[in-house]
Amino acid sequence: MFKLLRYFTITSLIAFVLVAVLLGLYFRRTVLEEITIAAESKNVALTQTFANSLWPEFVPFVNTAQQIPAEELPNHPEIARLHQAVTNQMRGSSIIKVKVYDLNGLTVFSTEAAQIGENKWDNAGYQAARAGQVASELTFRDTFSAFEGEIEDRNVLSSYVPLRQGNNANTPIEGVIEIYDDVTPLVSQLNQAQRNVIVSVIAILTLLFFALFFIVQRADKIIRQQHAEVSQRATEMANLARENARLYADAQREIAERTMAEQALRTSEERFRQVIISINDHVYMTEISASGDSVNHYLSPNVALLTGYPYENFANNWEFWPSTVIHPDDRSLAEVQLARFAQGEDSEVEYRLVKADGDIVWVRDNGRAVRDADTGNITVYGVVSDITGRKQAEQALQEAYDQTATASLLKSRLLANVSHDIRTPLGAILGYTEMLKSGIYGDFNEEQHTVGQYIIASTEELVGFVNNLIGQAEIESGKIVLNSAPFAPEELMAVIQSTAQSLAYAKNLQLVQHIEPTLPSPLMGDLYWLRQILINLVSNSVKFTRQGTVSVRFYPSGTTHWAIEVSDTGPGIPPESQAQIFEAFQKLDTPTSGWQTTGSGLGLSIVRELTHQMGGRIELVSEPEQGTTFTIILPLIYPQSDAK
Amino acid sequence: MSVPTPQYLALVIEDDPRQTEIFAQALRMAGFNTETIADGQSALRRLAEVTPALVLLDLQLPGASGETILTTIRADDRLTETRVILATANPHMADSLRAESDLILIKPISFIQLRDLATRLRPPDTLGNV
Repeated sequence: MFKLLRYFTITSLIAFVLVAVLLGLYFRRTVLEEITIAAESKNVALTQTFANSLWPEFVPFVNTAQQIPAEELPNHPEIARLHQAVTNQMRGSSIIKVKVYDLNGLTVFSTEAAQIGENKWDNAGYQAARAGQVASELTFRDTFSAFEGEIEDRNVLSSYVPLRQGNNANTPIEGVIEIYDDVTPLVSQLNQAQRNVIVSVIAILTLLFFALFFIVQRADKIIRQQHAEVSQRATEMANLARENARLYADAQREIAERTMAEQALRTSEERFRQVIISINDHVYMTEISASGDSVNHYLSPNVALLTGYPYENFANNWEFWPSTVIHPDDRSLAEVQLARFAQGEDSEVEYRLVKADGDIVWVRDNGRAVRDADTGNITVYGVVSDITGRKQAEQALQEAYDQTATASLLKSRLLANVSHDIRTPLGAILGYTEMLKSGIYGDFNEEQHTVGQYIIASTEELVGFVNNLIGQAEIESGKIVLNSAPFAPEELMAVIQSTAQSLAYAKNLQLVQHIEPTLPSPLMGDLYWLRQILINLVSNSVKFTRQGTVSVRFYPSGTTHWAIEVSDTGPGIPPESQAQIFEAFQKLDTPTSGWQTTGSGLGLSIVRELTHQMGGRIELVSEPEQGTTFTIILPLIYPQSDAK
Repeated sequence: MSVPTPQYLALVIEDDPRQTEIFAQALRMAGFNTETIADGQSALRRLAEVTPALVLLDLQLPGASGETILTTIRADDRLTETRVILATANPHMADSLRAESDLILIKPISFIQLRDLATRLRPPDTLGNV
């Protein structure tokens, strides 16, 4: 920081000291000059006096002194007399020494005898005086030989003054006198005055300094204050500049971000456009105002591909689509859809379009209606997809289905007719053979009985086959309808008589039938299909058992179920085959199984299916050569199936 | 087994003559007097005249359907004691008629079985009518 006060103090003090010293020196020099002049005037005056009074006495001696050898001169008798005369004249004055030179520079007289005989020709003061001038010199002497002996610490003014006869300026110079005036008191006074001057000056300057100091101090304070203000302003300006820089950077960043966002938006739009183009569907966005006017806000370019009309036909003309492109027969569908959109409801409609080239395409128009809460306008975001291929496939499928349904119906009728047409002659074969065996037409011998029995058994087998064939057809077509009704257990058991009894008899098998007395009666169930189950199980057992017993038993199974159990002493079913035997058309015909390859393979499949539909289950226990037991466990009152 | 003196009438209503003969023979052996009718209209007329103890009714008949005849029998107070055995080649045809019938037999019908079942349906013999 700027240290004004300190600089001021240092410089001013230095300046003041310099001024004081210079002033003192100047004062001293001036006064010394004045002292010199005054003393010189005095010396000149004394010389005048000397020239008038004593010089005539000196002249003869001076004129002869040249002839006297220098070493004898101080002891010349004249010297003493002259010395006495000078001393007398100078006594009581401040003159402390007098020397006289001849015109050759020879010191012919001196109050200090030792100096007599010296040559001062080369002395500048002497030469000046020789030329008629007065030359003076103020010197300080530590010791000085005065008239009255040695003196110390003296300021002495010595003046070379020309000596003329009668001290007339017009007379030639006859010699030079040098007078030493003791000016010590004057110089002492001068020193005292000089000290006073310096002290005074210092005092004044000190006062001045303090006065200035206060002014400077005040100024310094003001400057500091202003400096502080300026600094503060500078700081503020700097802060402002920084703030501006920051704002500028923010603005730059924001611009960069916006640029990036715009770029991203453009990229996104381009992607969106590509996606829209890449899907074959036509995408639209239509706004329906409260007054019912429709405006297309967006139509994907695919509309041109879909219809064959230029894009421009649609862009600014909402009417073009419903009035020209939609098939005339389907326009009512589109009107219904538009009405739904206008109600703010989503709608999906399939209709036909007539392309520019006259081709017909099927489309699905699927729109989502969004109502603007402020304006009440409806914006529909829709997709129009070409479903011609699907429609064609559907049509083909429908035709195929119709054909299949017709075929199925024909098959059912055929089976029903076949069933009826087979059953009637079978009835005749069965009945007449039984009548023959009964002896109505005469007694049979043993062989005839056996043959009759074979005919009957074969007929029963054929009947079982027909029943299973129809049953399987009904299962496959899902047409089985279970009609639950009360029936007596004996009624069910009786079916064995007409289906398996003959074969069992023919094979000399014992066929045991037993109904547990604790079994409730009547039972609930579909007697027709229960008979199918029982016939199949018993027929199988009789068919595959070579000797022994086939027993059929009905009994209660717990409190909620009842069971049909059919067991035989046949060859058994190998464990690895037990899971397969319930599959349709599956027969065990491997040589090791011991099962004969007769039968359709439908029986057990039908049994399983019917049992499941009745809410029951099948259990199978069998070991090879130990016989087989099938158990059908059914609910005592199984759930009613829906009546037709 | 001695053939009982026939005192109860059984009507065999069946259009196939072979079946008719077998059914009639079985019913005779079960102790019924039998009368055979081959079409529905004739059956309805005859049922208005006689009171059979048993009717063996084929469901698929020319003239009037077996179902119509069964309904007529069940609606006639005079025929409340008449037992009806339905005979059909179409198993499902009889499903809805189970309640109205005494027995349903699916063709082919065993001669022996029919004979035995009909015997059980015959009312007990009444002394004095021998």
